[in-house]
Amino acid sequence: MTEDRWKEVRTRLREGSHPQPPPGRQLWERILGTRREGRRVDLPGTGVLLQTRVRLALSVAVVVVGLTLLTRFNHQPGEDLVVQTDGRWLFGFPTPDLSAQATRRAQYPLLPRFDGSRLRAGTWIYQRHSVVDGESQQVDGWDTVSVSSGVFGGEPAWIAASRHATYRGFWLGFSDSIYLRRSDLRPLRRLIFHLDSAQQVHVAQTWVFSAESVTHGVNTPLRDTTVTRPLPLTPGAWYAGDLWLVLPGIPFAKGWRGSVNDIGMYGQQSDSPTITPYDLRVAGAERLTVGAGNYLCWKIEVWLPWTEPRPKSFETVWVDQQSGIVVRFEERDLADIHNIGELVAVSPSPLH
Amino acid sequence: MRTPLPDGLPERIRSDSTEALEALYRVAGPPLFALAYRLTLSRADAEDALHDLFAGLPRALNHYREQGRFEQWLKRLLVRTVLMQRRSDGRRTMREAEYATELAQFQGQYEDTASSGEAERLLGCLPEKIRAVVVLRELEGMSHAEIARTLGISRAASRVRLVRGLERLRRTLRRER
Repeated sequence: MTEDRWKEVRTRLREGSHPQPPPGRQLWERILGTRREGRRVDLPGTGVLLQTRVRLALSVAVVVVGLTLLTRFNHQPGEDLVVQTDGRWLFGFPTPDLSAQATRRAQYPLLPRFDGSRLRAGTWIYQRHSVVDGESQQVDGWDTVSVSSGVFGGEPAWIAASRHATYRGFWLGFSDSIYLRRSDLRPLRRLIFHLDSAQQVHVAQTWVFSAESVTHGVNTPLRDTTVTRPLPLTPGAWYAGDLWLVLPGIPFAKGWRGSVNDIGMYGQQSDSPTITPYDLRVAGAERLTVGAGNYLCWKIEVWLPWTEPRPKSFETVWVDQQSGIVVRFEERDLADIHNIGELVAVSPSPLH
Repeated sequence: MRTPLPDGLPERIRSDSTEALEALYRVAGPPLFALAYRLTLSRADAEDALHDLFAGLPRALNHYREQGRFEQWLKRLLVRTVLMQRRSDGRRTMREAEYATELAQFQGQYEDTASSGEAERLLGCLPEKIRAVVVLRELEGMSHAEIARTLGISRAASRVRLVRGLERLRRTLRRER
């Protein structure tokens, strides 16, 4: 069915459907104006892009040498990882793809519970940029995370509020508020608000967790819907979109390996929420210097569940050994674009 | 570009004939604009690309060797112009594409899914590098060799990006079912 729909759309486009209205006299007048002014417009060449290839080859060589050196001096030995780059983002992005989640078993022992005692109140600001074809691009987004103490349903809770902003010609972002039970970081309530400032679109989603079920509400300018589904939260289960909030609750140590259950409950169209394990392992210890300071970190590799049964992919996150706070994260996509986020400010300093 | 171009057009444009350039704009403007629009998904960016293409064409034609079809050469030039503009904008990230996927999904709640905007909405779910391959192969009917030459990538990379793009489109459509 999906094949047919795409073929139908493709056929319509191939047959000559053009964006309406087409470019008209106004654009032609603009072109004439440029010609009249005698302004020179340089176009790229159309020959084989040898320069790009050479640059790419040099970049690869530099990366290989760099990684080799890093591995030699900074990493503790572990299994070789297959660097495969498909998949969706884990950190700072809340939409796992249910359709791609096959039945899957955890690679490592499931974490029995999160230790809530290590989480601290504070504010952390991350700055994001990407690296395309080995070239670092401009800063294109910020994530701000604030954790404060509160009460939810009579229970002591942490309130984690985060704001994620990305620039792509206009600002696109979402804010995310989560109530966590303080003892074990179990999710109690979550609100995500998406805003597309260019198109004036907003979407608010809420999840309210009870012992046995979750109620998911979606609010858009056109409709409000609420769906309640059974969801017995297994021990150690978490909603993976913001796994980084609960990383302080995981007892990382040299050689640590473990799996965390992800409540893949995104969307109201799915039949039922699913629970899928993420596999995490400590790949080494590294000292990082970022905008917010110098930290001795555990380097954690996280395997993404939605790429099965294809080759595994992973994201890398560096967490401060003392506090468990994320200091840096690195994601790589299938077009070989690296997205990198680094801690640039903390207030008040929860780390050192 | 289904309407054939008048004979000798490249030579006349090269000699800076505004009439020849306008004749080309009338015939080739709409399909080239459609291509630019599907690559950028922005009218403003597509118009900028078309403006640069036509304003710079007389000079650029000095490098046209008349090997192969003029229309294909124009398309290649346009694609590279778009890529050059996008690269200088530096506003592509995979994360943004993911956001777009999500927003597109919700926007789809109140869009007519059979509308002509559906294709653009679906293309908006793709990262830019992959979208370029999907547009050139699926909509423009270019060969992988031609795409590789246009984008400066290998044929294998073109094939891989196409497969991944179609797979992602399939996933998006399945999720909207």
